[in-house]
Formats: sequence, structure tokens, C-alpha cells
Amino acid sequence: MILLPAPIVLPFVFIILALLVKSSKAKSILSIAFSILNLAIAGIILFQVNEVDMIKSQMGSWPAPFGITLIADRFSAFMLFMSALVFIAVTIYSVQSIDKERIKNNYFLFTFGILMGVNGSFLAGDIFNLYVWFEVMLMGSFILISFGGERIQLEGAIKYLILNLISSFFFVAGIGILYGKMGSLNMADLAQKFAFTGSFPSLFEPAMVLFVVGFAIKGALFPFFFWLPASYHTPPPAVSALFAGLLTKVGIYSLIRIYTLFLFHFDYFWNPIILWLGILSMVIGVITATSQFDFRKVLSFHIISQVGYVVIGLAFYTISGLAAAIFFLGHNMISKTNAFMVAGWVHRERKTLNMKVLGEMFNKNTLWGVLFFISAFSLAGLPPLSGFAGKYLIIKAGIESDHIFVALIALFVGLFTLFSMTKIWIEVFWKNNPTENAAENNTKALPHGLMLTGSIILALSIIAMGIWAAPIVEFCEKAAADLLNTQKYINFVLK
Amino acid sequence: MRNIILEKIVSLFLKVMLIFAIYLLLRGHNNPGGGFIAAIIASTGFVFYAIIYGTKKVEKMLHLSTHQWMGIGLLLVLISTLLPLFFSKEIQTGLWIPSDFPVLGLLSLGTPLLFDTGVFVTVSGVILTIILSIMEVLEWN
Amino acid sequence: MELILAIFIGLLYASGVYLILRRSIVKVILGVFVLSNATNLIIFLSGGIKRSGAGFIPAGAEKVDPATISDPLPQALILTAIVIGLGIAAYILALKYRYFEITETHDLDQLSKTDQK
Repeated sequence: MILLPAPIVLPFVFIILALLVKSSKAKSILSIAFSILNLAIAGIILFQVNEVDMIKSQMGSWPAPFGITLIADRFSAFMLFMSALVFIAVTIYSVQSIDKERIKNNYFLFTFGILMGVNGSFLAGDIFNLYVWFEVMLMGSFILISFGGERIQLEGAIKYLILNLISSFFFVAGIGILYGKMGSLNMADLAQKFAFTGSFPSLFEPAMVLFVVGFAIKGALFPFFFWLPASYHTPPPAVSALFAGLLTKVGIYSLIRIYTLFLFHFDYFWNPIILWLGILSMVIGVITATSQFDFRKVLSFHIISQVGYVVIGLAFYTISGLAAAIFFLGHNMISKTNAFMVAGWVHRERKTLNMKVLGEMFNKNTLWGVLFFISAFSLAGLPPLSGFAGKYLIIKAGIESDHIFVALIALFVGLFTLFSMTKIWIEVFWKNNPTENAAENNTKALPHGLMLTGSIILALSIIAMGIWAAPIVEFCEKAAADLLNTQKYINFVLK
Repeated sequence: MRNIILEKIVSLFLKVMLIFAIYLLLRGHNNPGGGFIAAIIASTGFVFYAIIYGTKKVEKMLHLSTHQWMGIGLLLVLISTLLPLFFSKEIQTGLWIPSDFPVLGLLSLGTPLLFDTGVFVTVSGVILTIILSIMEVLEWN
Repeated sequence: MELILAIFIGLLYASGVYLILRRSIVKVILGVFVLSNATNLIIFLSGGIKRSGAGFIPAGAEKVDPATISDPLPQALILTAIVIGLGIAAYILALKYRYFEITETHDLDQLSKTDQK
């Protein structure tokens, strides 16, 4: 009974402790302990869900369409586990990477706020609840992105803030319209009403358009992605690593949830839109990335491109397509976060991320070079890393569902990704240091043991996800089958 | 500049606001009212007090820092949320203590009241944090 | 009544969008507040506008005529949205203060240096 609310209660307990405890050191230790606990709970949920398909919990013992439902199916459990993995790595990394001043001012309180929002969104079975968790996550991210209030952060914060607020307004307006027409907010109940009545209220379509636009802004899909590259390179590196791993993925998670519950009734209308959103995000993200010369900006544009892969997987709307999308989502979370973490180390050593003045980082520390190699070439899709399995599955699903053109584009985009990653690799790690400041190269390296630990955790996960892809894909296929079987979800919630 | 009339009125105003807030807090759940509204009203009293007496005096009156009050409020919320677990019910289920006091009559004591009290303390803490820190930055005193 | 409220919401959205497109950060912030309130009104409208009692079932009543009480859910939703709006308002004003401290102007273009590189 405590199991399902636990991923929400746990960060809540940490927030209370962070408010009551004063010492920075205690906060750091507590945050690592709590993120380990969170991973353990996510693991237990994953294990349980794998046994029994779905588990749910009714808040306050109110029955399903009236009370708030928390539900975990395989997809949510998988996302919970991957986000717990990302979070634990980022927490360990932050303890060393974030300056003392920020930790003293309760940096960890806000990261746990984000964790609470993310976990809540994955578990929410009620559409307004989903909105509330989105907002919890957003409040945490608003504060973290402007935390410290440096000049560069302010601009990123303002763009991030305004566009994300607009997306929330879209989402909430959609909820208002839907509630006015359907009189219910429980997603399963709404889906059932749509499925059984067969008739759709006149305002159904606008509500869905508002939802999709809201989620597309949150997930940084093609016409709505501008806030992401404008803001992700501004905060401290640990913060952008956390954002890259968790935030956009929640938007995509909600899009998949909404699509498999409601939108598939209007396949003829939504499928081409989703497909083209995916293709354009993929292509435009990767092409704009090639022209950038800031380490984190290249990676930010790649987030857009990678999100496109997930969305085309959804648009194929077959079991293999959805399974590929889920696998890719998981792979992208860990690989992207790890790449941002390496960027954080480079920033710590050189105080800049402009690739034109960087160089010879491989000589400085070989291990970080290897870690970047693993995450970058996992993003590009080289075997035996997780990205290879993800891309292979997406392209295979595309060919199987007669989207050969899309599969070709995906292959082509993979080539460009490889180009960008090679560019970073050469510019940052290989080429001679253009500043020719010999003293700079010989300065003693700053301590980075904990940062390294965080990054190694993710690198090992990337390799593991690539090598043991078969059981994970099998799990994702089951998750996809559950997603496509809407009736099962409805029956489980409303029984 | 000290203004003795204003000072007396404000300290009286604070007491009135606090009593009204507690009335609204206890009235909640079965009637319009509740923790959030009560907290807004209580913190209005404190804000007026801070405008006249300065923020230091309010901080002294609260004994703990506003952050700690937030923490305590959230702790009450957490307790009320998790208490039903020990009676093997889903979390947040309302638990009621049957109470029929000789003088006070029938009181509805239970986890919803605890939850509302937690909300009251938290929201007061949040609003006071916001306003007091803005006043400190603007050097209101 | 619904129609008047709907037109009013439309006006609020229009003015919110207009404000948000301005260059002054103060106007952008006001635009955000206006948009947020317009959205709250949409939820309010979704419950239907009718003259009826508060959304409480009287003590001991077995059955209640739905016509005599209003739908409490939209009110609860708006309360949630307002609380979120309160938090965002506090944050955004602090951000505005910090912005003014650094740039000493309300002009948003003063910061547009991170995009071009």
C-alpha cells in the first residue's frame, strides 16, 4: 500500500529534512542516501510490475473515477527506474560539482522537488494530477535554472519560464474544456467514455490540440523547441545534466500516454501530425546542432533530435514501434545526462565550453575522455552501446510498419549525430590546445572523485543496456503491448 | 518614526486576525474555510505587523525561522498522510476520533484537521518567507 | 452569463498575449499573470455558471439534489491553480528584481547575448 506512493513520499520527506537541517554536509549525505533509497523503491516497483502487469493505489480510499489514482504499468515503472538511475548519478555528481554556496541555499531541496514532480507524473492516473506534478517539477526547475542569479542564467531563465508557463496554460485550458464536456478527470474513465459512447463532444478536438501543444512545448518538439537550446547551456552543469535527463522526457511520456488513451481514436488526423513532428524535430535538431560551437549547445540541440526518434516510434503505433520508443527514451535519458556531466567536468577545468578555445582534454584525464566516448557514441548509435539497440529497433519498426522513408531519414540523422559527436570529440579532446598556454595544461586537476563516480554509474548503465538489450527489449515489448491494449488499462483502474 | 496609535492598532489587529484564522481553520472541511484561507488571513496580520514594527520583530515573534515553520507544516501533512497506513488503509484516508467532550460538545477530530493544520502552518511559512525576504531586500525597516 | 464570461476570457487572453509580446519585462510578467487568470476562468466556466449553494452535502443527508449544490471540483481545481500561480508570482517577481539589479533596465533586449555566439 505504501509502495506506489513511496516515490512521491520519499522526496517529500527529504524536503522536510532539508528545511529543518542546517548543515550543508548533512544535506549532501542525506541527499545521496535518499536517492539510493529512491532507486531501491523504483527497482521494487519495476520488479512487482513485471510480475503482476499493473499496480494501482487509490488516494484516501476513494474509488476510481472519483478519487485520485496512482497507477504504475510497465511503461511508468521503466521510466521511474531510469529517472531514479539518472537522479542518483546527478546527485552524487552535484555534491562535488555544485559550489558550497548553492548547496547551503538548499540546492538539493529543489532537485528533490523535481524528482517528486517527475515521479508523480509517471504515476498519475488522473489528468489534473498530472498537471499538478508537472507544475511541481516546473517550480523546482524554474528555481534551479536561475539559482545563483548570474547574468547569463537570467536570460535562459526568462525564456524557459515564459514558454513553459504558456505550455502549462495550454494544458490547463485543455483540462478545463475536457472536464466541462466529460465531467471526469480520471484518464481511464475518460478513455472509457470515449470508447463506449462512440460519440465525441464538439469540444473534444480543441482540448486534445491544447494537450498536444502543451506536451510538445514541454517535450521540445519541432515547432516549439526554441526554449530548450536557449536555456540549457546557462545553469551550472549539474543542473543542465539533470534537466537533460528528466524534463523533456516527462513531456514525451505524457504525449505517449495521451496518444494511447485518447488520440488513437482519431488516428487518421493525429498520426501524420505526430509522425511529421517527429521527423522534423529529428532532422532540424541534428542539422542546427552541427553549426554550434558551444559544447552544451550541441548537446541541447541533440536532445530535440533524439526526442524526434521517440516520437516517430510512437507514430508507427505498432508493438515494435512503441517498444523501440520506450527503449530509446530510457537510453536517451542516461546517455544524454552522462554527456552533459562530461561537459560539466570540462567546464570545471577550463571555465569555458566554447569548443574553439578547448583542446587536449584527453591528455588531461583519460578516464573522462573514455566516459565521453561511451556516451557520445551511444548517442550516435555505435554497437555495443545502448544507442545502437535503440536506433536499430526504431529503424526496424519503421521498415516493418511500411514507413521505409522515415526509417531512411532516421538512418541519415544517425549519420549527422555521429558527425556532431566526432566534432566534439576532435575539438574538445583531441586537437592541440589552441590557447597554447602551457601553464594552463599543467595546473593540478581539481578534485573530481564524486563527479567521476556519478558519471561511471551512468556509463556502466549505458554499456549494460547495450549488452543485455534482449531482456530489456522484451520488457519494453510487454510494456508496449499493455499500452496498446487500452481496455486492459481501463478495466484495471475502474474494476 | 514611532506612531503609538498605529502600533497599538496593529498589535490588536494581529490578534483578531489570528483568532479569525483559527475559526476558519476549524470550520473547514464541513463548511467553507480551511487551512489555506486561514493561513492567508493569519499572514496578513503578520505582514501588517512587519510593516509597522519591522521584519526583525516578526522573526523574533515566530521563534523559529520561516523555513523551519514550513518544514514543521510539511511534517504535519506527512504525518496525517501516513497515519492511515498503521491502520492498514490507503494513505490519505480520513481517520476520525469519536469525540464527545462534556463542555465543547461534538468535535470532529481526525487526520483531515491535522492535514489542514499542516497546510495552515506551511502556507503561513511560505507567505511570510516571500514577504519578509522581499521586505528585507528592499530594506523596509 | 456564460457568453459574457467567455467573451471576457477571450479579452483577457488577447491582452495577455499582447502584453507578453512587449519588450519590457514588467509587461511580460503582467501578461503571464493575465494569461494565468484567464486560464483559471476557463476551468471556472467548465463547471457551469448557475445560482446554487456551496458544494457541501449537509450533515446526515442521504441524498442531495444535484441542482441545489454547485460542482465543487472546478473550485478545487482553481484553488490548486491559484496556489501554483501564487508561487510563480513570487518567483517571477524575485527574478524581475534580480534582473533589474543586474541590467538596471526593464528592457528584455539587454540580455539577448547568449543566443548568438
